[in-house]
Amino acid sequence: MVVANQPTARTRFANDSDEDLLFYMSLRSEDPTAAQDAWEEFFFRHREYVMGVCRRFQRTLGDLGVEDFTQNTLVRAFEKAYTFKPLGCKDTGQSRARIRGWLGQIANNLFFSSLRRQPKISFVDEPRAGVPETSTQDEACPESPNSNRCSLLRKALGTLSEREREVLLASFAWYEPGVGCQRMPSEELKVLMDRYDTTAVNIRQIRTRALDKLEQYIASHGN
Amino acid sequence: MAKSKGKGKKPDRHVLEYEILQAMRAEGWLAPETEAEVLEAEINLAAEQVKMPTSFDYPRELLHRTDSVRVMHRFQPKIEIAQASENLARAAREGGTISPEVEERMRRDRDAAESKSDDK
Repeated sequence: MVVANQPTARTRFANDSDEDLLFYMSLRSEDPTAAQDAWEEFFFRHREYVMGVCRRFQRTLGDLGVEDFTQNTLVRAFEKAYTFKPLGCKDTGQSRARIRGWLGQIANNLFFSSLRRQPKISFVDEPRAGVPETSTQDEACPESPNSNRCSLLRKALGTLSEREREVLLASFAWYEPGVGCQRMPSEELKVLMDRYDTTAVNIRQIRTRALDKLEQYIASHGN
Repeated sequence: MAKSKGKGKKPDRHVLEYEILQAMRAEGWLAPETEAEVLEAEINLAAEQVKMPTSFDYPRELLHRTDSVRVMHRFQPKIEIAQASENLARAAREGGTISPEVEERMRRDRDAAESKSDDK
């Protein structure tokens, strides 16, 4: 029975900042009720945004996949709240953007992990999933020193065929910072081979051709 | 342009791959990770209507059924059951006496069909 005037989970944390919510969420072992109440508030604040950005995976995941994926991302945020490093930033807009960037990392790692068929590994602790301890603004494509090159690359990506796009994207499931994309395992290659009814050699050639195409676009359109 | 062969890789391909990953995020292939990317995404999303399914009205339930929630959807190549059945039926039409060649073909068909199913 719901007691009148009893604060709901949402009203309990309605005035707390996102960083505070993450702090309470990180205490789920010590105070599970508070952690879940905080997560519920966090969930309602960010669900539209997370759903919106997860629609970027729709072509690969399908409509139902996007729903599950959004839920998985938000549940994963609850489980990994302790990995978020707060800045104590007074600017709520900047704080929100930073937290949503962190949610984006979780979503991307879930996506790549789903491509790797390893849904149970600890995504946020992966090398490329390290929680940003400093602002990642310098990594933002538009602000990078080579922003013109990045802009060209964005245009070049638009010249890829559907097949080149899928193969290239799948290959980034094995991307490691400083090392680049590692060799795609034969099992994953087989999935792509079945999908496109082609051979492993062709899949590798499609990827190489896609990279060549991007390089050539930059070479011919750059200064 | 020289193409990369075998295990060798163009040295600048690593740089290119890093840049491609950034460009993929900026282009909307992946979720935004930087503050600038998030702000750009928020502007774009503001113009769209994000309709939330009713399952999103009860987040606690999601939290308490995490095992089922974590079923990952991914692209699925078509399961060519019809083709496999046709292959088997072709072998069956040979009648009561099955030659070793047909038997071998049936075995190959079955293995191929099972292998495809296992990969889904």
